[in-house]
Amino acid sequence: MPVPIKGRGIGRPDYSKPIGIDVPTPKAERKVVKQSEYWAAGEIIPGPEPNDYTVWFVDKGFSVDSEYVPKGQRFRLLKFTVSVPAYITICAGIGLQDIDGNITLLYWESGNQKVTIDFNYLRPFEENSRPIYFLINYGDVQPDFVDWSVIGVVEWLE
Amino acid sequence: MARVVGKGILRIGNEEKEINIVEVEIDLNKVKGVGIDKLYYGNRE
Repeated sequence: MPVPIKGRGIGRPDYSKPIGIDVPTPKAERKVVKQSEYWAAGEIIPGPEPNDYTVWFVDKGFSVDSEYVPKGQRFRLLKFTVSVPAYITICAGIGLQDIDGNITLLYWESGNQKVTIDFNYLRPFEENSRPIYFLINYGDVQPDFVDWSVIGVVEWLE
Repeated sequence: MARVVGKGILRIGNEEKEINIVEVEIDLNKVKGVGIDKLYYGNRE
């Protein structure tokens, strides 16, 4: 036998009604149709002088063929590692095609000999942008070489 | 100004290519985001 629900008293909230929840939802992203690993590694010879820095990118800018992330693609930078026998700071930044010369540094990390930045939560690099890598040498000597590597994912959008 | 400062390898998918590592000259006044003036305290112009 159903139990009758008594009417609420004056001044008390009515918990029997469903509550409408209006949650803002993010805009639908473009669908990813293909993903490929992006792995770059190399050696800078020699490294920056003591208390100096170097800024670099891959070949033409983003790859051997492209200055920037090509149209219809985007790039997720996952990991950036630099190994050099010195105390260093590394940064990764974003360069945009339409604001040439401007760089926005996104994150930095300091350490001795080997420094890694994990970009698990970084927004992807959209088309017409490119990653730029930055190294400051706080050491007393100029290293003979700097080893670095980048791991990421290139995504093709529909 | 850009100059080649090293060599490396780039692999996208199954395609692997040799790359040049290109050093770029930047204007520190055009660097935003992380406070580069706090990180770099040298005298480079």
